[in-house]
Amino acid sequence: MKQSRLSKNPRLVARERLIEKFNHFPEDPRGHRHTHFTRFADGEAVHLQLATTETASLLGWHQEGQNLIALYEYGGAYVLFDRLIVRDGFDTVISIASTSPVVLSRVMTFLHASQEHEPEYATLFEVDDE
Amino acid sequence: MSSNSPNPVLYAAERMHRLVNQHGQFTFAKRGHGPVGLRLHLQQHREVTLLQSSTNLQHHTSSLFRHDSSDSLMLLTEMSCECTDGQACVRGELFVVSRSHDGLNSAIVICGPDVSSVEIYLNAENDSGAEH
Repeated sequence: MKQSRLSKNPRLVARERLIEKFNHFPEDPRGHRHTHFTRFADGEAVHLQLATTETASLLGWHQEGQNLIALYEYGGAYVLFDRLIVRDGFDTVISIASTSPVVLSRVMTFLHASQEHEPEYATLFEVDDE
Repeated sequence: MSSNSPNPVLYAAERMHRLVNQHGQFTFAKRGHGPVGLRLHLQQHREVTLLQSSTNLQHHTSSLFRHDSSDSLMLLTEMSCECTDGQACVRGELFVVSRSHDGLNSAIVICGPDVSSVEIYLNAENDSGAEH
């Protein structure tokens, strides 16, 4: 697709829109906001867990090849699933935002349940923000 | 991530720092070991409310507390690191900001005797804009 000079590339807009929505997660009036960012050893299992749970609502998603970003609402929290293709496979970052640490903990427990073994963090590399 | 997209990790950290930086002119900061104990102490304190928290991809935790009676904000950052003996340890940074000197002092007292341990430096400036 030839990019217009007057507008942004639609694929970037779609991605930014989801990130913006996550960043502006609705806080409560007291300004409570708790966020957690992590990588799981099995990111695909987390995605499957979110995609197949009836109580998780899909707020938006954007897929480009195997790159996938999806925003879910689960149990009063926002969960942003962000999978990017990297040289050695995939880099999957899960971001969670909630208004209470208790809710955050519940969501983490729910996501950890998708892992076959004990929760194990995959160590890849820093996300390139440039 | 495109250069125009605000990274959620950075967004969360910058947002918390912005709140603290805009809160007042009287500041106190310290670094030291054992921040987990201080976090638990603040979480359980009657006059302190946990407003915001964030754990980033390196498992570093930032917690933003408010001392209700003095309306001071306390930002506690915990960072995993390796000590000189090669053992894993956690270092912490505490930053307290208040609108008044009295408020700052009362918030520092809440933090307990731990604040008198190591590497303390106190910056207090009045509204006239005195330099550090």
